[in-house]
Amino acid sequence: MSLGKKIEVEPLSDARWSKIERGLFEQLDKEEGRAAPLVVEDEASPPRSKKRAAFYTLFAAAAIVAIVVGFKLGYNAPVAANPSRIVTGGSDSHLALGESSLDVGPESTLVVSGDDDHGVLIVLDRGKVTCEVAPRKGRPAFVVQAGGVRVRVIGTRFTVARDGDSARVDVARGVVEVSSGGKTTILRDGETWPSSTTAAIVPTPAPTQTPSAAPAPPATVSADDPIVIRANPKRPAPPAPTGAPVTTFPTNDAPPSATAPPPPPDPGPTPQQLFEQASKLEARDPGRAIAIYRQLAGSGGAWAMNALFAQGRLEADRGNRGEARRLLNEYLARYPRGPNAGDARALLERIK
Amino acid sequence: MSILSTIRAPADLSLAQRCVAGERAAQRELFERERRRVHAALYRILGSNVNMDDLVQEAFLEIFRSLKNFRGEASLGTWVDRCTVRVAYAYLTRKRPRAAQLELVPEIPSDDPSAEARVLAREAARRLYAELDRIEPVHRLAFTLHAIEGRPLEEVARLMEATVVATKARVWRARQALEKRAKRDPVLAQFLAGETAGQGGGEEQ
Repeated sequence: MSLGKKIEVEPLSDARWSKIERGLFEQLDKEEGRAAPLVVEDEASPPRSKKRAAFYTLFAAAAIVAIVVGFKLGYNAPVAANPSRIVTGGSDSHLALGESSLDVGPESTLVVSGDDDHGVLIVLDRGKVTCEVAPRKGRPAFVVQAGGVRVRVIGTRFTVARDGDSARVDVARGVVEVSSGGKTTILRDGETWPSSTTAAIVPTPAPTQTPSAAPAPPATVSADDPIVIRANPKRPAPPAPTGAPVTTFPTNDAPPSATAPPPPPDPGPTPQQLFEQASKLEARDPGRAIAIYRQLAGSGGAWAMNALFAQGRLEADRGNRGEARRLLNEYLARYPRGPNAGDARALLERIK
Repeated sequence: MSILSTIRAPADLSLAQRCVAGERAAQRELFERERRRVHAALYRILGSNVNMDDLVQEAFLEIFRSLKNFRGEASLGTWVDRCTVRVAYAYLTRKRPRAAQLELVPEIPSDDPSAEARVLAREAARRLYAELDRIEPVHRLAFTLHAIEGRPLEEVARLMEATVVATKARVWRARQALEKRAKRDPVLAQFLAGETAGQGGGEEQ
């Protein structure tokens, strides 16, 4: 007999259930009550609020007009290149992704973001994916991130299989670049990573958002050139990619919009550029990289999340376990469902 | 299993959306539908607990707060389980009780023929949870979800956002600790006997 059958769950009395239900809905009422004032205009500062409201109203109206005019003129409506989460069951599935294609293994989960023009980033959460990547011809890279292993592609066919925090990479043809633990290995036709010579590389979790493959934030993405995830008719179809993913990637600091205003004349380095700079500095000047990550992590915004995790990972790489634990715990407290939450927990387990 | 099977019943998504919209009837419907599931999961993870009412309430608050992120990619039941596990884990890591806190339970009538067996089982369960209180929360969580709740390792791994290998190791560590204790506690040893004998099959689920 299993333990579950031996342990008798003591039922709660009706009175206790009533108490729980009452307490629950009172709490929900309170929370909704707290939320309400946020949408009420602040009468203490009417001029500023009204100006802002008027601006947003005009902005929204302009956006609607632009979309309507676009339809009248025969243009396609803007399509946001949002990340899509793909989950397979017991069988594999074939997906078309622009000019490239993916064979997702059974029991696999991955998040696809970006497109051919802005770079494709695939985060393999579990399972296996085989990618047939069209030659990039100068277009941004196609990147697969699996735990701490990053695979950067020019044009090839290769397979990445998630293995805990690490991954296994098999290249059928072409050339790919595998990065892990701050080290980079080039793989050619028929080669596998980790091989006997590269097995010594200890992979460490890296930020999910790969700077080099970060999809640039398009103000609009024409439906003529969309990120298309469609099922091969001969195979089972993937879940509709319209649902917002559990994992999201920062694509921009400003919301993508058909009528987004132009950037200010001298914006300085963007958070993404700072992140890339820190990422490049990790090997030769980790102190400086950590300083940049710290600055980014404290600044808020989408890149703060990746920077906080990267800072914790880098501290762990440097052997500063106490600081790494503090940062990773802070990451989990601030972003319990963040894209690196699983890796943060795994890393914490490893350095405890 | 086809990938299409990962798209769950639209009823789940519809119910979740109504809950997110603040529709009280939908929230009550979800509460009514899932309350026993939440309570049973918390009970099997934590054992008899004086804070059970608060924990059930906390689990539902977590469920309702997080539903805005529910996209119907898994069933609503799985979502509920994940929130429940998160609340149980937070409780275990928040503050370890200094001593086992037991609930008052009704007396078993003396003319009940199974009274003695039930009393023994309850005592064994008390000892099991007292020992689980000494185990790392992640090990305890993995063990209770797998060995007591009877969930496959893969499912436990998903609920705990861990790898199957790590989950297996956690279950193994918990089991080792319990078996070590059972060597000195015949009541616990007898209670664990069936589970230990059947652990091979359990691993393969």
